[in-house]
Amino acid sequence: MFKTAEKTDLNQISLTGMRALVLLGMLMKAPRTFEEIRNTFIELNIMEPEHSDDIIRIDLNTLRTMGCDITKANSKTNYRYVLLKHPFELNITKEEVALVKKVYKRLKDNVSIETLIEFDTLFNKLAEYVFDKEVQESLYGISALKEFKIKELRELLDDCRKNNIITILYQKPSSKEQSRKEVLAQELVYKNDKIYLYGYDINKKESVTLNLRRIISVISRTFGGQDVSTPACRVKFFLTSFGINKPEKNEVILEKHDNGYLVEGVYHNDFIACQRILSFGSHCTVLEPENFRELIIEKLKQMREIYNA
Amino acid sequence: MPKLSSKKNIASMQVLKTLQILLQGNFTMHELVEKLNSQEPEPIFNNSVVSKYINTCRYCGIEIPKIHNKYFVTNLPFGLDLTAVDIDLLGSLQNIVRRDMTSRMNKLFNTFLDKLNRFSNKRIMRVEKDSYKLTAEMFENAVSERRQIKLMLKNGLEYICIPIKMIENQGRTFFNVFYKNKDRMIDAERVSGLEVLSRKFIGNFNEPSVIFELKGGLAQRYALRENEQLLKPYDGESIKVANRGEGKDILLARLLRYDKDCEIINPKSYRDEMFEIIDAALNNYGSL
Repeated sequence: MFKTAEKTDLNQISLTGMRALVLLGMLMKAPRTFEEIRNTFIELNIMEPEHSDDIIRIDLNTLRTMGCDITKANSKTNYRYVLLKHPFELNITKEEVALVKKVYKRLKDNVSIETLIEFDTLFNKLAEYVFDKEVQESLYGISALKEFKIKELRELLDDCRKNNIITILYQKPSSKEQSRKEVLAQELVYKNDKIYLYGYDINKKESVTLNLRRIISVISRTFGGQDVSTPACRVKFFLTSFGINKPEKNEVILEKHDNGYLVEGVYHNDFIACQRILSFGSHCTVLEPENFRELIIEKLKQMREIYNA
Repeated sequence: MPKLSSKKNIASMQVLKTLQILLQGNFTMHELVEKLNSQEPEPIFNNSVVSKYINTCRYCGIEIPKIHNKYFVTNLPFGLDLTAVDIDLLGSLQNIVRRDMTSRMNKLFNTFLDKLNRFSNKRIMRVEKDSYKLTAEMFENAVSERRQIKLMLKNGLEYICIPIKMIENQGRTFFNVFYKNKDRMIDAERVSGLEVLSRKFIGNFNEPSVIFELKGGLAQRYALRENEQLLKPYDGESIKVANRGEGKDILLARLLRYDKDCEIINPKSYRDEMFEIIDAALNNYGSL
């Protein structure tokens, strides 16, 4: 990180100033023992081996006078000097955090869980670098994953990648009862401010969409590419316009017409396909399969009945 | 003789003070000397010593270029450790600001990036000021000045309308306007131009509070959004929710998803529109 001081450069720079910067830099990176500081100073030619240790103590005092809060190196700190606070903090304002939050909000629905995890890491990193408690709290609060355990998310992502079968304890939405489920993990999806595990229930032999909040724990994992056939819901429909929606990655525009698009969507199950089709409102007409077309017509009739009353 | 604990190194402090000022902004040598001396009981800084202190910082790896006579920090090697992934993420946020937001927002984001640049050990892309999307800015000005606007669409249509607000949905930007007595959302991608008219509008065109009822399992598991309030808690059958400011088309599309488990109670105009949408959707399948 720092280069060795050359004797010829010494009239251009302040040697003691360099010691202060090196010490500050070392402590900003990690807590240090007295010996580590001394050895680095000697290595960088900014202290001679025969010099008194008092030089380092004075340098520490200098940083403290400048507003650095540095602990004593004792048994409590594992004999390391710890920099608790310094006046060179990243001074992010609340207004800037509010803007970052606003922009992130626009982005979060269109990125993968992996990217959301990366954002989570970035926001935490920034938060750790500011000292203003309110700004720090706001930064910690931006991430859509703030209430999730990142380690567990990573494990589930891995399960999906490897198509592991996981046994979970699941809290049913309708009751306080918990049930055990054996699920082939397929995809982890962030949608409408929630995270869902798309999977296939091995025992019920049906596709399931599980709200991650309701997964109490993963009891066990069976590793590796399980050979379970998982039916998806494939729908062909005509759209006059995407309206406020935009094509999802699982939707393909088969043909473009003057008055709209012929689209084929492959959805995790009928429930998700229904939700998607209904959200298009009058822009959409389901063409195939016939039974799904009938299902949508039936739902629309029931909905019209509500407003017709 | 003073105690060791009260001894400090004056030159070291002066170097640190110089760095502290440089981290706050871009300054000429004259401004730097002035700022540094203003903190002292009597002037001790001059061009020659400040140059030496800047060199000391540079020697320690802190990048301090001098552009247009101004010194500023662009890299702090022992500062915030940003990875290449972090830089990409900041870039993706920056792209949205550049594409969709006002110059005030661009300026604010630029300041934020500048600060990260100063404190980090990596270079972050800077905002190009000429790429701001002015349309968004004009729209927001029209809202605050309560002026009507003319929206010119790429297909040749023109709407003389009342601007309400800008809305984001699924990464897309919409102009929420009031046109021909109806609340509409126009995709910003469809707009080729915008003219702020001198004609002012009176009255309040903000969206009303929308009340809807949710039934069945959805009522039990529904999570309120930031802009929603629970009017009636779950009573074994349903809940009632008040929603404000979601954008009519976005809200209606969402409530449509809830199928027969959802019913809009108020206002009547939303209820009527929902009926029209469902009826029109059914008509797509012939007279049913």
